[in-house]
Amino acid sequence: MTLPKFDYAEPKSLRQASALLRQQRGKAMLIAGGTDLLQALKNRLKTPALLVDLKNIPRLDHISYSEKTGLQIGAMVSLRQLANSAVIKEKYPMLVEAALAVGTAQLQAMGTVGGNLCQDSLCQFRDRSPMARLMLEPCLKLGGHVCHAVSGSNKCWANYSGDLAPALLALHARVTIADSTEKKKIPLSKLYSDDGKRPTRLRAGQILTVIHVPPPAPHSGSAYLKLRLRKTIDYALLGVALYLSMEDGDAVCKDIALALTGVGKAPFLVKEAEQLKGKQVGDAEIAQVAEAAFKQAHPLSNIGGLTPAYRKEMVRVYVRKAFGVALESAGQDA
Amino acid sequence: MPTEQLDIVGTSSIRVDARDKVMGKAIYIDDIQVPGMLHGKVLRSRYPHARIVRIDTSRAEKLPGVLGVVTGADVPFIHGESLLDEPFLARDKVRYTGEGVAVVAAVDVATAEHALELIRVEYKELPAVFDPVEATEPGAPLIHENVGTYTRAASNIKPIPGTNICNHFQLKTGDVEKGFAESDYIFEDTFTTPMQAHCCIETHGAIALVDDETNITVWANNDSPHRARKEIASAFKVPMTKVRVIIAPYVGGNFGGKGGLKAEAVALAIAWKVRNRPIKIMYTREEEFCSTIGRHPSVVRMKTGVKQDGTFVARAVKIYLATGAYAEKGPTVSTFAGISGAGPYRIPNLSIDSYCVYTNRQLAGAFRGYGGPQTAWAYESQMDIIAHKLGLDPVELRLRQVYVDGDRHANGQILKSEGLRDCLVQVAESMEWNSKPLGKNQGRGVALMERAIKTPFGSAAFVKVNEDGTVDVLSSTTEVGQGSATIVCQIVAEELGVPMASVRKAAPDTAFTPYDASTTSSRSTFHMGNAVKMAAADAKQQLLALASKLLKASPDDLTITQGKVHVKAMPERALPISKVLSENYGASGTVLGRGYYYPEMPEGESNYFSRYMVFWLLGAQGAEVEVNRETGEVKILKIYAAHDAGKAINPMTCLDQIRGGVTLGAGFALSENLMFKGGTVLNPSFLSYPVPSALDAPEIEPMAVEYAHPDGPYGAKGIGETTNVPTPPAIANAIYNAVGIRIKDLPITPDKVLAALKRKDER
Amino acid sequence: MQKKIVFTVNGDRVELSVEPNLTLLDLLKGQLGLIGTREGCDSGACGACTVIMDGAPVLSCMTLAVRCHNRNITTIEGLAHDGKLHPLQQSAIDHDAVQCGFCTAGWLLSAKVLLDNNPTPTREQVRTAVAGNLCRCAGYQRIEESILAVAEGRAKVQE
Repeated sequence: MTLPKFDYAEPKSLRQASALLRQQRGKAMLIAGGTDLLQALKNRLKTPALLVDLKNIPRLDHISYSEKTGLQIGAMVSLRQLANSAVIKEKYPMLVEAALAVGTAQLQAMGTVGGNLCQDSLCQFRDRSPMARLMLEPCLKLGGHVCHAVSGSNKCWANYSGDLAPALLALHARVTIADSTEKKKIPLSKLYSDDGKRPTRLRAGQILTVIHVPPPAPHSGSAYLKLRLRKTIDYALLGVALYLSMEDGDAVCKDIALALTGVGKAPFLVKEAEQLKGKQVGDAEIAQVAEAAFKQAHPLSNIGGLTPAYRKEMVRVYVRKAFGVALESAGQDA
Repeated sequence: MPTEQLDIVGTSSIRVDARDKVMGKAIYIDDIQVPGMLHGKVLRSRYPHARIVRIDTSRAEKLPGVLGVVTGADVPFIHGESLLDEPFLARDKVRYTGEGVAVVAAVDVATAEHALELIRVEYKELPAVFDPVEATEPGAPLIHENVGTYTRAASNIKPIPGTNICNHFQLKTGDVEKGFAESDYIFEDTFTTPMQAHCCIETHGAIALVDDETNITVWANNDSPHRARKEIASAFKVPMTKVRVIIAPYVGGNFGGKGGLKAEAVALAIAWKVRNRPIKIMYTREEEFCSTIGRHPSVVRMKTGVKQDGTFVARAVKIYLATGAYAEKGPTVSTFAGISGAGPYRIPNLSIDSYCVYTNRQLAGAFRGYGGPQTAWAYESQMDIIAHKLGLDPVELRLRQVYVDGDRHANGQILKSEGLRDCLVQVAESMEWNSKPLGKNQGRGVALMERAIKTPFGSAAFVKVNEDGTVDVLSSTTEVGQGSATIVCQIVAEELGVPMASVRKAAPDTAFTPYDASTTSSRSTFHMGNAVKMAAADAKQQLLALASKLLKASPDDLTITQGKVHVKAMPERALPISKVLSENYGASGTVLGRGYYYPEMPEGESNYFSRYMVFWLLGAQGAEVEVNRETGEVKILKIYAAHDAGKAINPMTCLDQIRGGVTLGAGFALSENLMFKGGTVLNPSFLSYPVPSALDAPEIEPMAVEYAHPDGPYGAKGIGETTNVPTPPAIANAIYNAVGIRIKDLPITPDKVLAALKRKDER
Repeated sequence: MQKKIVFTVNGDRVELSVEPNLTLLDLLKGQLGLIGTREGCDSGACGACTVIMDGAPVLSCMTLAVRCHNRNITTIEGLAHDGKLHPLQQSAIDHDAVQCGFCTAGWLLSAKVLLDNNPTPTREQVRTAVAGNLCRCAGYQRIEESILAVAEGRAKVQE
C-alpha cells in the first residue's frame, strides 16, 4: 500500500510540538521511529492530517545516569542505542534483553523507547489492509460494533505486546509527560489504560519525553523472558519481566516487581509479587506468585499461532523461570 | 554409466547469476518499466461464496487518473492448466475471499488504490464449505455446479459430476480386503496438514499489453513461459503467434508458486479492456497470502495390514486435498499424491483413492514437493507407529521393504535407478543410528520419501555459437534461484569443450527461446539438461565438420578443448572456434545446435501426467530433536538429509538445494500454518506467518547420493523439488522417540506437544 | 507540500524535493534508479529493503524520505567500488550464499553493519544480525558461513 497524504512538521521544541498537536485537535500524530506508525498508515488504520516529527527536539535522544537519580532515557533513544549503552548494559541488563527482544536488528535501529512504550495494541482481526478488513465486519477498534476476538463483547480486546513496558514496569520506571504548558512525572503503570482501543492514556497534545528508572539496588537481579514462535520478528505472545533485590547476605527479598505483557489489553504489574518483600523466596512463594500472574493473564486468539490456553499455562512456567534467572543474577542460588 | 573424463560437470562452478545479484544489478519484474505503462490494482471478494448481484464502477471510472475499470463481465474467458474452470475475474459468483472481482488501471498506484474504494459491489451470500472431507459429503454446497462439463487437459483427469471433487485418482493392486484379512495387525490413522504459504520474498508481478489487433505481450516472473503462453492463447482464443511471454531476467523465488496465471491473469483482464497500454500489477504481500496459491491442506486416512514380523500385506489410503475455489494444479497434485500415496515400499495389496476437492478458500497449487509432504507425513509417521507396536527398529523395517531396482512399483513400472535404499543407509550411518548416545528428552527419527516427476513432457534448446567463439544458450528454463542457469551452462561448456566463462544463458522469451514444458517438478536438470546436451553436441559436430578441412583431419579425429578445435592426438594442431567460423563464413560465422528431449514412453501410457515415471524423486532424512517437557518446545538438534541426485552436476548448488528444502520442511513441521476464520486468512503477513529466520533454521548435514540414471545427462536426475518432504515425519518420529508422543496434525507447535505430554502423563 | 532534502547516497550528495508520504524505498528505486534495494513485504518484516543509514541497518519501506535530510545512506550499489567487490560480496559468491537473490542486498548490508561494529562475531551474533532478513531459499547456513569467512579473513579478496 502507498502511504496516504499528510503534512509533515519538524518542530524544534517540545512546546512547538505540543502546540501543533493541540491545534490539529486529534488530527495530528507524533512520529518517533515510525515502524509502528507507517504500518498503520499504509493500512489506513490511522489517517492523520499532520505528522509531527520529534527527531529535531534537543536531548530527546540522550541517555544519562547518576548513582543518585538513576537512569534517564529520552523518548527518542533508539532500541539499538539503548542496547549498546555501556551504563545500561551494566546497571539494567533486563532493559537490554527487552530491547533486543523487539523485532529485528533493523526494527531495533529504527524503533525508539518512547515509540515502543506507546505502540498500539494488536489484533489479527483488525491489523489488515483496507481490502482485507472488508472481509470481516468492522470491529470496535475500527469504530464498529463487534469484537471478533471475544464474540458478544462490547469492549475491545486488542492485545498489548510491547517488550520494554514490562521491563520498565518491573524496574519501577516513571515517565515524564509534557504538553505545551507543563511537565509531569507519573509512574509508567499510569500511562496505560485498560482499553484495547487506546492502550495509552495520552491525550492530544501530550508527549512522553523521558523515562526515569531508579538506580538498581545492591544484590538485585532481573530477567525478561519472551514467548514467541520464532526467535525473531514475532511480537510477544507472552513477556515476563521480573526485578528483585535481596537483603545483604541472606535470602530475604527486599524489593520485587513482576510485570507481564502480551497477555492482555495492557502491560501490567502483578501486585501479589510484592507480598514476597521481607520473605525468603522459596519454591512455594514462587508458585504462589506464578499462580497470581496466571490468574491475571487473559490471552486471546487474536494474536499469534499458539492457543490462549497454552499462553496462559506458560505464564506459570515463565514466571518460575524468571525467578530462577533473576535470583541467580542477584547472587542467589536459584 | 559414463566413464568419460569430465572437466566442468561434477565441479562446484560458481553460480553464473551470483555476481549480478550481490551487486544489486539483477533485474526483477518490479524493475521493468515499459513506455506508457499504467498501474493496476485489484478489488477482491469479501465473501467466501456469494452471488455477485451488481457491480457499480462508475465513480471509480470518473476519478481523474483512472484509465479504465474491468469486471468479470468484460472478460468472458476461462483459464486453467488441467481443468478449465477459472475466470480471469469472478463472474456471476465469487468462490473465495480474496478472489479478483474488478481491476482498475490508473496513472499511478495511489490513484488505482483510491479508485478501488469507489467501486460498489452488491453480493448475496451463499453457504460455504471449507473442510475437504465435508466438501465431499452429500449436501455440501456446490462450488462449481458444472464440474462434470469443464474442459479437461486429458482424459485421466476425473472430476465427479455433481460433487466438489475435481479429480478422483485411483490406484488398485492385488486384493486389499483379502490382504487385511490375512494381516496380524491392522493400523488405522488419520493425518492432517495445514496450508503452507510459498513466501517467495519477491511477490508476483506482471505487465500485460493487449493491442487493437489482440497481440498480447506479458512480462512476468512466471516459472514456465511456454505453458503460460499456451494457456493465454487458448483462453483468449488467439493463435499462439499472437502471444508473447517475456520472463524478467531474474525471478525472486518460486517453489511452484509462480506457475500458471496469477498476477498475469488480472493484468490481462484489465489490458483486454484498456488496450494499447502496458499495465503493471505487482501483488502486495497480503495478496500473496490471500489471493495466489498455497500448499494443499490435507486429510490422509491410512489403513495398513502387517504380519507379526513386520511384512506389509495391504494398505488402503484415502487422500483428501483441499484445492480451494479453483482446480489450478490440484488434479495433478492429487495424482502425484495418489501414485506415491502408499509410500516407496513393496506392498502387494493396495487401494489408493486421492480426491482433489474444491473448497471456498484461497487456491492451493504447486508447491515444492507437491503431494509429497501430505502423503509422506502420513506413511512415514505410520511406519514408525507400526515399528514401535511390533518392537522393530524403524530403519530396519524400512530397509526390508523399500523399493530397489527391479521391483514393480505400485504404478506397474519396473524400477531402475532406485537410490532410495542408499539414501537411507547414508543417513543412518551419518547419524550413527545404532550407536550414538542421546541425552534426556532427546530422540531420533528417520523418514523416506518418493515422489513422481511430471512425465512425459518435453524440453527444447538451441546452442548458438557466436563469431568470437562464445556461446549463447537459448532455453526457456527459468532461473528462479534453484541454479538451473548454472547447470545449463555447465553442461553446454562440458559438451562443447568451451570454458564456463564463454557460455551465457538467456532469460526466457517465448519469441526467441524454444519450447520447454515448465521449470517445475525438478525436471530441468534431467530434461533441459538432456536438451542442451544434445544441442551442444549438435553444435560441436557442426564445428568439427567445419574444422575438418582446415585441420586436414576427419571430424571423428577432432575434438574441442578450452574453446579450441584440435586433433585429438595432437592438441597443438588447433584452431580457436572463432577462427573456424571466420575461415568458413567470413564475418558472419555462426553455428546453431538444436536439441529436443522427450522421454520414451511405454505404449499405452497417457501423455499427460502419466503413471509411468521417467525418474523418481527420492530421499531420506534423519532428525535429532530435544523436547522441552515444561514448555513443549521442540529443538531440532540436527537434520541429516540424503537425496538421490543421480549425478551432482554441481555438488555445491545441489547440497544447497537440500539445505533450503530441509529448512522449508522444518518450517512446515514446527510452525507454518496459514490460519483462517471461515474463508478469511488471519495471518497474511510476515509478522504473523512464521517463515523461519536464520535463528530458526536447523543445523543440516546434506548428502547428495549419486545413483546414476541411464537416461539422465551424465546420470543426473532432479533433486531440489522434494528436499523438504521427509523433514516433518522425521521430526515427528524423533519426537516420539524422545518423549513418546505422536502428533498427527501439522504443525507440531509447542501447545500441541505440551497437551500431548499431559494426556500421556494422565494415562 | 514538498520538502527539500539534502542527503548522501553511496558517497554522492543528493538534493531534491519530496512529498512527505514518499518512502525512502520508493525514492531510491523510483527516482534515483537504485533498483538493488528490494521490496519484499512493504511492512517492515522481511528485510529485503534494508539500507544502511548513518551506520545502522534500517528498513527503507518504513522510512519517510523526508526524514533522510542530512543523513548518510549506503545501498547495495555502494558496496563495490570501481567494479571491485566488497569482501562480503565476493564471499557470498564463493560460498554459494546466493540463490534467488531477492534477499541478498538486504542481508549483505546487515552483515556490513555487523562487521563494521564487531569484526569478529560469533556464529550466533551473525545469525542475530541477519535474522531480520528472511530468505525463503533458506541459504542461511551459506549466508552465515560467507559472513564468518570475511570476519575470519578467509574470504578471497578479488584482485
